[in-house]
Amino acid sequence: MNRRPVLRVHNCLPSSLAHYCQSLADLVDLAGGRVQGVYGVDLEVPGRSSLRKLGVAARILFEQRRTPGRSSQDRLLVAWPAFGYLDLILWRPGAGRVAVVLHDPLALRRQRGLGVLSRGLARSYSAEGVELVVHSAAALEHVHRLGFPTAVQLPLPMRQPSSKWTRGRSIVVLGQYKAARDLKLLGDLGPRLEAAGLLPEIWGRGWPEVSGWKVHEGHLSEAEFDRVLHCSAAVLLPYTRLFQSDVAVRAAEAGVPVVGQEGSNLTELYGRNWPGVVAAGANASHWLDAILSVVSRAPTEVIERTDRRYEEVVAEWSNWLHDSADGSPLAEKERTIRRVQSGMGLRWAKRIVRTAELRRLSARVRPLLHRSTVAAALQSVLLDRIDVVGYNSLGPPGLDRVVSQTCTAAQILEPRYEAWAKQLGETPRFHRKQWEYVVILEAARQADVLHEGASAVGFGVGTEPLPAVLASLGVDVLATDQAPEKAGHWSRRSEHASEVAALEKPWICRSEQFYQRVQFRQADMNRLLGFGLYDLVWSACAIEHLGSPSAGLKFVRESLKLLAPGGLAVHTTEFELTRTEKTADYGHCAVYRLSDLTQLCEEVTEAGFEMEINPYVAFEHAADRSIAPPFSRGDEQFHLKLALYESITTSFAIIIRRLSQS
Amino acid sequence: MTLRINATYAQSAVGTGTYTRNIMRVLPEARPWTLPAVLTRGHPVAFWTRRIAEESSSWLSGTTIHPYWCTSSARSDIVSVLDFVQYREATAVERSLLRRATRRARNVLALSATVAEEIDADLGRRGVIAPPFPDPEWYIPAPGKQVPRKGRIRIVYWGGVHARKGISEFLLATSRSDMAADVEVYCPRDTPHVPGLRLHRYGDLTSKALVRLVDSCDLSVYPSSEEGFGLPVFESLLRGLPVISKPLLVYEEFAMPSSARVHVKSDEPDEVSQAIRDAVQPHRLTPKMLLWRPTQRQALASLTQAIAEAMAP
Repeated sequence: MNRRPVLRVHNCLPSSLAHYCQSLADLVDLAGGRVQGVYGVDLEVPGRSSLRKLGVAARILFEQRRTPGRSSQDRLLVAWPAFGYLDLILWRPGAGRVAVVLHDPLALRRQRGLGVLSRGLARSYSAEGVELVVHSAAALEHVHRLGFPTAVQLPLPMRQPSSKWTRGRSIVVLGQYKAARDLKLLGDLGPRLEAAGLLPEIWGRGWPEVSGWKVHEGHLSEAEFDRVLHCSAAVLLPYTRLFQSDVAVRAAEAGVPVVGQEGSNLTELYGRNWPGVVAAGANASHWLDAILSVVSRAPTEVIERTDRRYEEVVAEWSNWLHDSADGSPLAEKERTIRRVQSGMGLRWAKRIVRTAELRRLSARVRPLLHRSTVAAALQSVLLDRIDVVGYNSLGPPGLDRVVSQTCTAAQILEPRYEAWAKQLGETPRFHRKQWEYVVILEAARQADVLHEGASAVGFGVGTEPLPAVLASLGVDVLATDQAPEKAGHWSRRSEHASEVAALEKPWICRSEQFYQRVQFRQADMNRLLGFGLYDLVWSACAIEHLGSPSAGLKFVRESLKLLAPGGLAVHTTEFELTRTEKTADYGHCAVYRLSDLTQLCEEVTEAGFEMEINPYVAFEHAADRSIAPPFSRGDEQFHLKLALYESITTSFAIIIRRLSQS
Repeated sequence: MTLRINATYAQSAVGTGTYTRNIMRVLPEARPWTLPAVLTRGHPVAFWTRRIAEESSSWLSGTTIHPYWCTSSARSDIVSVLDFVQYREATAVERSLLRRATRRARNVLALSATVAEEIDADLGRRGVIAPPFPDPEWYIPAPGKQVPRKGRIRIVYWGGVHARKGISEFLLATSRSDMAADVEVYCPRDTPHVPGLRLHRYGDLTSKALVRLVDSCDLSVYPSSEEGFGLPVFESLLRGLPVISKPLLVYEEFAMPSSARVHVKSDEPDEVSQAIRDAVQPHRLTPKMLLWRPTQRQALASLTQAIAEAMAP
């Protein structure tokens, strides 16, 4: 007979995480396991000093020696990491595995062990068998990006929902004050809620006065919490940044509607089309609309939605609990990635590499540097700068149905990609340039414009292989590039075409066929004159070099005029992965933000074209987490993301289709 | 029983990589061996080790890569001394490591008699000659070039771009010669820009694509000043392509048709332009100038013998 897997829980916040641990125990029981004791040193007792934390560390070491796991299925779950990322080093598995739950990868309030140094140490020295657990997709994405690729996502434990909601008039904010609370939003929202006949109330400790809101300052007991929750009209989560909310889970259990920003666990709890999910950066009137929309919902609808989620929560915890330690794919993945990973994210590394960035270094020294440990250390600094919260709601893009999407390692590993790489005469490489060629070809194939007699026009072709590939497939190609006198360094780098012979790739297309199908002419992308209609219009990483960000987007709009009915335009470009106020413009190169592309999408859709964006930014594969440093020569093993001046970029394919009947 | 083969590498795993990959192709499928890689021109940092691992990952899957300093303690049954030219530039420490590895190995393989003699003189071991042979793609029947192509003369080069290969000097001389306007050159991506010359750079082509490129060209160049073997020269001849190279002894060793080779002794523009003119003369164009079977048979015999000896109790 199979032994029930045992989960030991270490909880050093017994009061704050009481509900968490009780729900967890219920879930484990349902999943066929059992929780063996919830223990831990109470850090919540007032007056505990930093010295006391050292005592906690000693106690942890003592505890894990005293109660080793009895089988590989036994697990220890650290419900709150007292030392942040450093807990990954502190805990050593016995016979079983250790799971350290990180509630907030970025501190919402002051917390030890979440800094760059702690992360770097944890990345380098955490033990095998210690896994990092997070509770939302946003948190998972964040820790992947910080260099913890084996982190797993489990839902916040919850109990079976049952409607205890007696709809009141209060819109409540529950829980203590943290710096991440959006006071400005609350200030804007309070008077509007009152005007709408609702009562805005805040319950929790540490809150300042907020205009328009009635603040009940002080600690809430469990009973008080339940009472306030059940009598509210809706619960509000006013955060500038939030990974997941325990308050949202408790509201879901009681069937109370919740309103919060996208990117937290709200979508997971209430489903995709829940009206209480507000877009990032939305103003007070959007929040008000969302609140008014959810308070009108029937209690049965809320319970129906959260019930579905509960079943998923039970299943996911059950799977995790029964996943054996050694043979699991996760354990194997972890071992592989540990071998690959190296380097520590130390600030001095950035300074050293910045020195290398000065263009004085010779070509012999640069490759040595960008393959060194120092460069590996720079990775964490660069990864830290990426901010793509809210980009990944649509899931990873693939090549099975190409839309406007980013470059990811997963696409490069697809068989379809390999087939196109073969057509290019290459093997698949984790290089964004190769991905750009492949995604253009695959999008064209899916739009059915790669047939004998189809016509295509390419802009800024340089010496790229696409004209040769298209010619080999029977497509008539007009390749264009700028005039030689304007080509500048492109010409010196042999990346400029001034005649059709420069585009010939004998390993792709036979000479006779190539010269029969391909024509060349000079063209200024800022002034499109004398073109006809084509089935395919493309450019590979050219639009960002047109002088300004607006010139690039103008070209994209103008290029749509060259599309025959049913034709396709594919333009690849630089995609901004950091958060910036305005589109980066480095003179010779622009880097487009998601908002720029979303705006373009709205415009072209309104004009009758088809465009769909999936801005998913991947961090799953080692190649997704590698950022080519500023002194890169482009010959790294992984070249999907790039540090470009102040930006971190990846390639993005803008794909727009003209409808057949238009 | 495990057979441990010790491949000695230079700074690049490209040429030597081809050699080792082909050794592995003819060895038993069950792979009863490990392959600890030695870097004779290595550095005491992980840089080269990582680079070898990156470049070789496609064909070394399942093989453990060790940094070069491990190899002195890793006893090998066979040491294949691949790039002995680089050995001359090795440091004293590197030489002592290689000496130790070869002393302890049962067999030492050499690319050619030239290399075998050098091993004998420097390391005191007689190397068994096991020349390299190209990938199967190179044996696909060539289309033949009975009639010279119209248009510019198309030259191809494949191999490393570092100083010893001499390609930069050759291209520079070509650009200064009176043939500069009449030629176009296909060369690897990292070839430096040469003003006044039509350069087509190609990326990491597959073996098949490279063969297609070579077939579309009029002549190949391999102006290396020193070679342990010079595989691209043999590959060119296998495809029926005349070759411009430096006069090295190793090319004579394997009975290559001398009519197909044009030697340049220096990188003077006049000499280079004359060599190009000579190379594209119609009489040099033959469908296939080298059937590599004897060389391949010799390599296989040497390898089989070395493996049998190594695996004997």
